[in-house]
Amino acid sequence: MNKFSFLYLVFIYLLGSVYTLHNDIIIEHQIIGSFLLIALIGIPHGAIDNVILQSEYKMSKFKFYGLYLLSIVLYTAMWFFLPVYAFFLFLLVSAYHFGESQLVNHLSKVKVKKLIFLLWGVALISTLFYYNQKELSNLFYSNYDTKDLNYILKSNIIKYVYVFSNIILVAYLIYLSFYKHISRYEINKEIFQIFLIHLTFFLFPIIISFTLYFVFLHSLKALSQEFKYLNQKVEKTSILRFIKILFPHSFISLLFVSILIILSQKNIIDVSELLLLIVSISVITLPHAIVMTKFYENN
Amino acid sequence: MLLKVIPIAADNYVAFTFFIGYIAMLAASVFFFVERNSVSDKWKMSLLVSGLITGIAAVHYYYMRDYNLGTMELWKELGNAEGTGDSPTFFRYVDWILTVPLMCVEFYLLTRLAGATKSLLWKLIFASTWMLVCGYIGESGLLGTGTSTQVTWGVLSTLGYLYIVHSVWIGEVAKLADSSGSDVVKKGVRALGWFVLVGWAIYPIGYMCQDGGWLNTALGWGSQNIDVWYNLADAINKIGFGLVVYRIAISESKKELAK
Repeated sequence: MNKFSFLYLVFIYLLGSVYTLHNDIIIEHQIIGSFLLIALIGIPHGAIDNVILQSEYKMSKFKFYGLYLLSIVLYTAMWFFLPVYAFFLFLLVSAYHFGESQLVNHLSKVKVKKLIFLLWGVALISTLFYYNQKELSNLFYSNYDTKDLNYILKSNIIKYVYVFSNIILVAYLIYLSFYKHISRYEINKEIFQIFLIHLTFFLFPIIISFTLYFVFLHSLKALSQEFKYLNQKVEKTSILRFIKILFPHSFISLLFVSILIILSQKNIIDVSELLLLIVSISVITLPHAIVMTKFYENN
Repeated sequence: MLLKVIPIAADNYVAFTFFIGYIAMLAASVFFFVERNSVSDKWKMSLLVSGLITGIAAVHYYYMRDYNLGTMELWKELGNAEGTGDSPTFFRYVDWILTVPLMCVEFYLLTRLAGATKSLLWKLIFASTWMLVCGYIGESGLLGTGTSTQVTWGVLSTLGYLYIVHSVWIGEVAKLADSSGSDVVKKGVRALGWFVLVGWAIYPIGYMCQDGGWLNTALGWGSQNIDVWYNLADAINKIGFGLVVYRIAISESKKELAK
């Protein structure tokens, strides 16, 4: 277990206590708590993509922002014309990105590692959706422009994806351990973490479940890797300086999303808040995932 | 004088596991005490402590078995058709307050050769005692009943548990084991870490299964189910813990002999 899994465990026990006390956390509190954690830790973990790419490829700022914004614009257009496909792409990109950040250190010598990264992420997302189907379905049905996203919950697709992806993933990890590609100690830690994730996704509502995973097991870990990278490859950086580097893009992202949400609430733009959130997150996930793939390949 | 024989139903798994627990712990104690002769002097204390842990537990399980069966008979006589015995909370905590700090002593003994200090020993003993005292207050209702009181003491107890988990996996114990220069000690401490992380997790889970607890309400897990799990967990945690220590002691003793 590393320090991020430890923090994850601490929050599981903390939430268990809250639930014992109150039997529930109302949706407004869930949203506020999740928003704070994601704003403080989740969003910033993607806020130095420019530093990483410019350092790795000696790319000019103009080229970086041009490419980044181009991908955002193109993906937004895809959401406009083909929303269900755009949503699928978001899920696939997220799955690959989550799997890559989780397993990249273990699978450097494995030939099919990219497939395993995708498998890990698919297992994660399908587990989240499977244990919280009803809640997710209600969430999608609550707005006219997100109803079609329920497609993924139809006809038991999620159930089969959940079962097969998890079985194949655990079986493959055991296989890797058996043939000594990864030590048994590391495999035990991975399988335990998978179990913890399942437990969290099963016990807690979808917003809390996802926030816990995203903030503690993904974003904090990525921030730690980025901090080490800056110190080793770019310049000696203190934590305070690191926060200052993260601040501009984090602030811009949050400001942009907040403006869009306000415009939606005031009916100036005819898009629900939920869809706005999903689209906003997906359009920055795609370029971020590409940058992080380059980062992991070179480091 | 004839013993009163209490009939036990074939599906009374709680009674079944009390019997198994008591005998298994006793057998493990005998094993650890006898095997002290098979290890070098450096490791005799570790096996002694393992034997004490299971020996103390064996005695307490003997009394817990009697308490559970005795209360079962009492409730039957008072008209409770199901006749399940009471959970021996008092005895469990009496057992844990002795055996859990002794398990923490094992971590100190294993990492002593790598530089573990008495300060580490006292920190672990304090954390384990804190965990158990707070847990007992919450579970027994000693200083008040009600969900908020239980949760408060539960949270305080969990702080002690998380301190030990942190120390064994990331903190002082983990670092000492990594710097011990012995693969066996490193792997052994990691194995013991799993007992603490997974094996001991049954206790806060059991706490949350009390009447009105979150897992009791959300999943229907009640205290009558949890007794079986406590008994099995105790046996695995204590005997398994001792066997890992035994394996380390034997391996390191063989290495010393070979030198």
